[in-house]
Amino acid sequence: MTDESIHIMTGAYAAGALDEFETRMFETHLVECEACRDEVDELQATTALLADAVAVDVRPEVLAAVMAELPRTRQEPRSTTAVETPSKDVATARRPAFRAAVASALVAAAMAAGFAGIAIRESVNAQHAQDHAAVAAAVVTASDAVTTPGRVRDGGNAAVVVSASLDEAVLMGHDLPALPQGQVYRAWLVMPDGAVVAAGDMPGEAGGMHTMPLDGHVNVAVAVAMTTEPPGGSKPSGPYVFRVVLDGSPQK
Amino acid sequence: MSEGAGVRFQHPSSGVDPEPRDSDAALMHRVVLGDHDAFSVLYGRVAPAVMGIVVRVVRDVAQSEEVVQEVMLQVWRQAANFEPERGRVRTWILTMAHSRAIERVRSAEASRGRDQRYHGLADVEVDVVIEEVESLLDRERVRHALAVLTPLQREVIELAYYRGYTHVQVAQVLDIPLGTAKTRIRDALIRLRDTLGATA
Repeated sequence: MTDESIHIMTGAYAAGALDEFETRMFETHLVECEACRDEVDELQATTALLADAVAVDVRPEVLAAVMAELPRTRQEPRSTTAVETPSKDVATARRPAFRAAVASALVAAAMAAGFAGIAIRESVNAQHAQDHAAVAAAVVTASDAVTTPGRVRDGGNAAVVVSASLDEAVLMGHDLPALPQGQVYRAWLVMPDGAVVAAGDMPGEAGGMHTMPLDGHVNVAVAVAMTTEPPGGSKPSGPYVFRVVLDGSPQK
Repeated sequence: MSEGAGVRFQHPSSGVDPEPRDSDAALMHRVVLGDHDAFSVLYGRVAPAVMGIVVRVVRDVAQSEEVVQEVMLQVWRQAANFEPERGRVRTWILTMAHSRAIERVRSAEASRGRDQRYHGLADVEVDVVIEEVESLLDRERVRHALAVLTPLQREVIELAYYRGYTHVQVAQVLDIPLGTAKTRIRDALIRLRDTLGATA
């Protein structure tokens, strides 16, 4: 089901109709899905023909300007991060197959939900949403990104993606149960001494996919947890509904 | 490199007139090695289509010319990263051109306020002079293929590809659910692919 949902994104991707964040997420999926990769290649060959169909004359000055730039434009060496060879830091990617599967499921879910959460916030505060999406995209696509998934107490899934090199983390929630009006899912960084620091709120509305960069320095935290809260407040008011320790093992 | 043998009319001549019958892929090999002549030949082959799609999306000739320059310099810089097993040179370049054009309008949109663009949507057709007699046949094939699409499918191709709308904007403009927009874009492209026999 979710698998089918992500497959339909090939068209929007080839047509350039995904936003920047969705594009990064889908490219994460492409790394491990040969079927989608093949379809994207074919659909991009198709859109190239659509470009051919509207070819126009270009003023010779444009060529002259480009040629004038060549001598001072450095040619880059072949990149080592081609799609076929995802640059995963082998040392940090313990149980990579399991993580890849979970990341894939989350990406699929995110695509299926049409990034509802982000779209909504975007209309409210475009700049904020852009920063948010930029951070999230940077974390998710970082070469040292490690995904730690876990179940949420009353239903749904969540995962924490951490990039140690960026000292940033993203919390992804999928199909979380709706909360009573006014309540939110609050993320917490758990410190080595047991102290907790609020790291951001996710809306308490039902379903869909929510992605949120966490506030604070994730590199000093030992775990990420989530509670349900009324807005405000600096201490968890109830039990954790989600908790994962950051060495990579999922926990209830 | 397997792309088109195309050496039948290879010029024996020297220097300034680099073999116009070389395949795009062969030219790319030379571009990777820093060959300016090969690059200018490749430019001649792709620039009209690059400009065509860019001006469709950006809708301003001066800005589009800037984007064409950016795209072609990106081709020069990143030539070593072209992966022949993933498709043709032309596809690689035109995909980059479309992305760059979209980046340009989306960053302009973001600084201008997001809703403006698709509210002022009256059908502004870009007036373009069609040249490149060589590719007229292709153009006719594609236009024929577009005619095979349903009106709803043509509409999403126009909005998503030729105008650079996101699938969210497509859904809003057409007042259809997000999932429908995504499915319709894919169905339309698959139908075009099958009609045109496009392979990677």
